[in-house]
Amino acid sequence: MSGLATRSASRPNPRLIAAFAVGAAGLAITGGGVYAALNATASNTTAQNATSGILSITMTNNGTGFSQGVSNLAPGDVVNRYVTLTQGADLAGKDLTLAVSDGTATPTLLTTSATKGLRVTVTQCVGGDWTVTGAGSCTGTGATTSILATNVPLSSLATTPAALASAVAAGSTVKLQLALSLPEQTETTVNGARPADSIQGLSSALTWTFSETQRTATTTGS
Amino acid sequence: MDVHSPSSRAGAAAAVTALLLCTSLAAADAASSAQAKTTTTAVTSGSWGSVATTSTAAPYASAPLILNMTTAADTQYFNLVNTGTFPLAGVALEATTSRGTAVIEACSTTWNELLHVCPLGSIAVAATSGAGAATYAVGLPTGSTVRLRARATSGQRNFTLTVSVNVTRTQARAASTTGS
Repeated sequence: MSGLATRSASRPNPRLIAAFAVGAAGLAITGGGVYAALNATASNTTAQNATSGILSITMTNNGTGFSQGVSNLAPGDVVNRYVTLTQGADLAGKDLTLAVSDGTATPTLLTTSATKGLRVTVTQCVGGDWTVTGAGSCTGTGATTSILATNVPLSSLATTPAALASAVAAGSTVKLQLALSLPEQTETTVNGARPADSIQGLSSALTWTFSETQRTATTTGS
Repeated sequence: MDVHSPSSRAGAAAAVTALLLCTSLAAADAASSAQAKTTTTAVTSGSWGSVATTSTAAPYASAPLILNMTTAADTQYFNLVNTGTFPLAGVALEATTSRGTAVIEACSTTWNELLHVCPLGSIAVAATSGAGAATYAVGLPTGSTVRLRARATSGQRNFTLTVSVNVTRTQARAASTTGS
């Protein structure tokens, strides 16, 4: 008798365990059924469309634009080139800037000297378009010009882009004249030898980059 | 190192979080800016210069021309060459001698260098030794050459005549404004 009592205390009755398991399963099933019965949902019958806008700005040459190089510049020369920027229709932009980089292996005074090197003045034709020959003119009824950057050395534009406009409306066009100039300077060539730090006979390979950021984010409701 | 220790796991988690944060920030920044960029545009500056030389073809030495005047009435011819990329309206010529005197002359037509005459034309003095630099107003298109004559005038012989040529910015073409 004492042996049987010891065995019962140390080993649970399998039938009891099975009964508990069946009971727990039943409770789980009935409990789940009760929970499902308390759920409710509401949803729109027509799917709501949500799309993100596209920020884009594209540039096209107005006249030859930047498709044509500039050669044989003399001090005092001004060469006008024209481009049209088109803001994408989705999103407006802001903080339009212009940067210029020189792709030559060893940039020269043309793009490294703030005093001797190339400079650019950027002018916008508002309400009209440019006549692109010679000195150029902004023509059209009510057309006006707006100078966005004045005589900025290209040497600074590599590291510090020039701010051109604070806002660019979606779908708008910006018609620009870029006047590239080489400052007047005095140099004397002696027996065919140019002076030290001469501005003569130099080359550069310029890439002009217009950049902007998206318009300021808004919170709206309706 | 025990990579399964709690501190290592915490470090790894922090690194992953930082990486995800950087990635998402970069993506957000890229999505909020736009650019329009040109292809590369070549821009070059021109040059102005001239040399006096006895050479008839490039390359020309960038140095003054030195002529040895060996006879009392020595006469020698040389070229004044526009070596720059701009047309020139003139140059500054300077003639110096080791002793004696000499002149540099131009012919309005073409020198007859055998007879030392300027046929059907006139001779003009472009520079005189000892007079310093003098402007020689002659139109020199890019790459062109003018033939000049150096002539000993003092009756002395065996001296050197040095001819220097300076070109200032104002002697090259004027600045212009163009557009296209």
